[in-house]
Amino acid sequence: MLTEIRGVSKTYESDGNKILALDNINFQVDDNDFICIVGPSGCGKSTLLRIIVGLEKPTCGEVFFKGEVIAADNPKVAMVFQNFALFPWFTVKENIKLALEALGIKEKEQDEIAGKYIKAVGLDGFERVYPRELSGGMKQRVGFARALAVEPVLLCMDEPFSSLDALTSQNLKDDLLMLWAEKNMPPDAVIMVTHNVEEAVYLANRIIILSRRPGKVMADLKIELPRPRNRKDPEFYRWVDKVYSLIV
Amino acid sequence: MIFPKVTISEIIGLLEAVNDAGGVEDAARLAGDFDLELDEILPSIDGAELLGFVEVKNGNIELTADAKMFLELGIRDRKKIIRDKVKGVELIKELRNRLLESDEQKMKKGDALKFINNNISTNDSESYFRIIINWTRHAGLIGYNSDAEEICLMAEK
Amino acid sequence: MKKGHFILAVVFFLIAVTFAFYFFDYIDFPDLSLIPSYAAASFLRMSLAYFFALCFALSYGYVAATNKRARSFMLPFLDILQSIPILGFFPAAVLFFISHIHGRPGVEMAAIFLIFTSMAWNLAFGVYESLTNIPKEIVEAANSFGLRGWQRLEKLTIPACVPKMVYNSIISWSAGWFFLVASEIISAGSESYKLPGIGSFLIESTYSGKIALMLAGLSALIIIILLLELFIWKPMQSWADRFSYDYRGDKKPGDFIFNTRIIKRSFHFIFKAFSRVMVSLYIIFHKNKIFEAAAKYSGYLTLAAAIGYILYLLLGSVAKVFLDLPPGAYSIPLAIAYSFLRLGAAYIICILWTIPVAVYIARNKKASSYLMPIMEVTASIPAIALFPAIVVIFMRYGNLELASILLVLLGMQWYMLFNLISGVKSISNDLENVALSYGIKGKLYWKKVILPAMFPSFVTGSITAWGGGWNTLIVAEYITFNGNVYHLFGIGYLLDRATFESPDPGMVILSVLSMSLTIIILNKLIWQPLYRKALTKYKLEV
Repeated sequence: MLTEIRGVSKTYESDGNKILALDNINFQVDDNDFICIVGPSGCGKSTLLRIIVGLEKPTCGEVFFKGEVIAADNPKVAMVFQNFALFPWFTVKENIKLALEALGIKEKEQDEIAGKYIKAVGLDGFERVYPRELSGGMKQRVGFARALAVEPVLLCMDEPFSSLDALTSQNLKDDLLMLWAEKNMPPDAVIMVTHNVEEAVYLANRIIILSRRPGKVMADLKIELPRPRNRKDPEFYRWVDKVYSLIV
Repeated sequence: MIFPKVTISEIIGLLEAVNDAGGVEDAARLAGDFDLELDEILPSIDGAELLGFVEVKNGNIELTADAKMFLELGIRDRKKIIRDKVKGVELIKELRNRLLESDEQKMKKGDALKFINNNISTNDSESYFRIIINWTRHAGLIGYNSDAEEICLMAEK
Repeated sequence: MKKGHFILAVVFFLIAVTFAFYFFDYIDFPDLSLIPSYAAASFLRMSLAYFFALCFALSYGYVAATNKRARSFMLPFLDILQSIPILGFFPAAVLFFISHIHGRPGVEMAAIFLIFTSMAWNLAFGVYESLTNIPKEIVEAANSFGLRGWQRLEKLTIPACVPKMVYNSIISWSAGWFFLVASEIISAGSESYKLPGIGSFLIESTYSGKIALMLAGLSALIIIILLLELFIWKPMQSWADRFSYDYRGDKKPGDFIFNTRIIKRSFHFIFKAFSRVMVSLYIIFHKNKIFEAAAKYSGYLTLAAAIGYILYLLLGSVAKVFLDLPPGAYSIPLAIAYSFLRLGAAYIICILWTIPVAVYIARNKKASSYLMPIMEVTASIPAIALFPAIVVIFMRYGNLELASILLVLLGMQWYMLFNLISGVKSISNDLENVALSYGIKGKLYWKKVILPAMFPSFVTGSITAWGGGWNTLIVAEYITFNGNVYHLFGIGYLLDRATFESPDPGMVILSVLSMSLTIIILNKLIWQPLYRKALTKYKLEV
């Protein structure tokens, strides 16, 4: 077991009112899990992800990663952001190397590792390019490369495709699945937040459905569809339908 | 000449989408599936055609044999195919020749923009520049140094 | 804490302190009673200068925005005017006005002219920018409704200028206070040129050892500034919001508390009246073709004549100067070097404290809510008002050099600090999260996240800081105290001496020219390249 989310609840204060965003979330993440957390807007799924990663503390409950309470800078957990979050004054390679430098890795090794993951996500040729010159899709590739470069055990992604156009998004998802299939590639497990059900069925082997606020776990579904998955497949559509019926 | 304003990623996305439909798909349905307008899908189709990945007949988009083989490959191997395909695009061939002929195999951005203006009738050479550089970077053929504002040939690996 | 409450608290505190002084016999009433009249004189100078600046800005900006041909030389001209150190103008202006209008009225005009120049260019740019940035759709809508002539002026043109003009006016008044007090202080050094006002009041009271009186005068200045902020600027900003094209509905009711209906209505009334006047003038000029032509030609003629005359004087003196260099001319390069070093020293001290404090404040919500109002209020006091006090203190230790550096520092630091704070704040939450989750902290975080993020605001802060610094030097390097003249060798000293000691127009021109030249060179070689880099490489995406 990699991550255990135990009795997690989160309450916010807004204009003097207490708002319960998450209500007693419980589940475990194991090796080889590709989990998509889906739910309507405002159900708290992004908040939940931030708590899992350690960027926020739950009001009640705990998140354990490999037996220990999660801390934000745990090097075994890496995050990919919806709006890419690249440093504009660094090139693609420098952005990736920064994450490695933070781990205390020496310059030469940083270079090698960064180079390896740049190739892995298909960014070769773009090493010395600045984020402002990149399209959204390429920026997110850098986000992936950076997350993978620290060789995390758990990869967390917050709506990583929602800022991209449909075709680029398609391309990136397929590339992600290719990387996921590679045995020698990190991570061991993925948790992704999305509001797009089709996307979740396309990518995940496990879907956790959150209810409307306050977010509760409505269902924890194992997706039994062989890969590669095809949107046009009627079986695919049946799974999408099933998820929708659980949400609505 | 008309050059499609589309990135390589979008083109590959299109190929994957057509592949999902079995290798042939009606353009209108494809647009509908991805919730795309005409303006958004046409450039991708044009781009895919230019690279020899699709053939368009009667409103149907059909994957070529090259495309089907391409889609079977992994990310690294796909890069090689992209390189070969992009090398064959007329405009890019021209640009590479110009670079090969120049002194340090470099060209100032201003000259590149002029080159684009001469070959594509447009008043927005800047956007075309960005697209072309996107293609050539993907292909590992031509790079662009934004600090020095010049494009240069990339070394063959 | 709400800024408005804080301001009121400060005002009451100062009034209480002043009365305490009076009550405990530290000040005599006759002396105290001078304050209102001196303060009124200063305020009047400010208002007149502002009024002229406004008129100038509206006409100049309007012509530049609507007349393509005129624009091509009007804008560059404005640019040049903006880069001349304003206080460098003052001695030259004094000489110019004195030679035409003798005695004190001449100096008054010079002072008002000085304040005018500190406001006018900035306001003119504001008008120009407002008019050229009206969203295309709105212009097209106006056209399709057939909005022309005076109606266009009233419904489109004038309202379009309001937000920027209000914002620029607030900044102009801030700057204006500095130059007002500076001009009063500078002229106080010379018996014949003395201008009664807060500045001279501060000098007189300080130098005659009546510290309590000086504090009272300082309080008066602070009170005026703060009351203006509370009752005029803040409400005006909120009122001006309705003219803004991108209404940002997330604006909270604001820190001020006097956003009452009465005040809003008065602004609206004044605005409408002003609009009517402008429109009527416009109608008069446009209805009567002859009138219009006469106005246009006389306008161009006057402008041409004014520029011509000034150029004639300038070139004449410049020619005379270069044909027959005054003896002091050879000391100019060295003087500039000394002044530059002083500025450099102040700049370094400034950076050393503003960077850490800016980072602390920007990242600490609690500290920020307490410290920000205090700092904003402190920053609104023109540093120059503390000048007499600083002089007296440092005079005792015989070290004027430190005094000048301190003064320059005070002039620079607020620009720097506020710019830096906004720079740190502009680091998006996403980037902060990246740093947190990837463990980027300590030295690495500073070196690769915070400092690069602050770079653009560091550059803009530095540009304004140095601009303010050059102006401050002109006051700081030449001091009259107890009938003696103390000076620090530098370009400000040369300039002041050539104006007030032994009037030497040639030297004045040479000094101003060389100072301007230095500033332009520094801009071209250092600031502009840095700014360009800041705009491309370091720009944080919104």
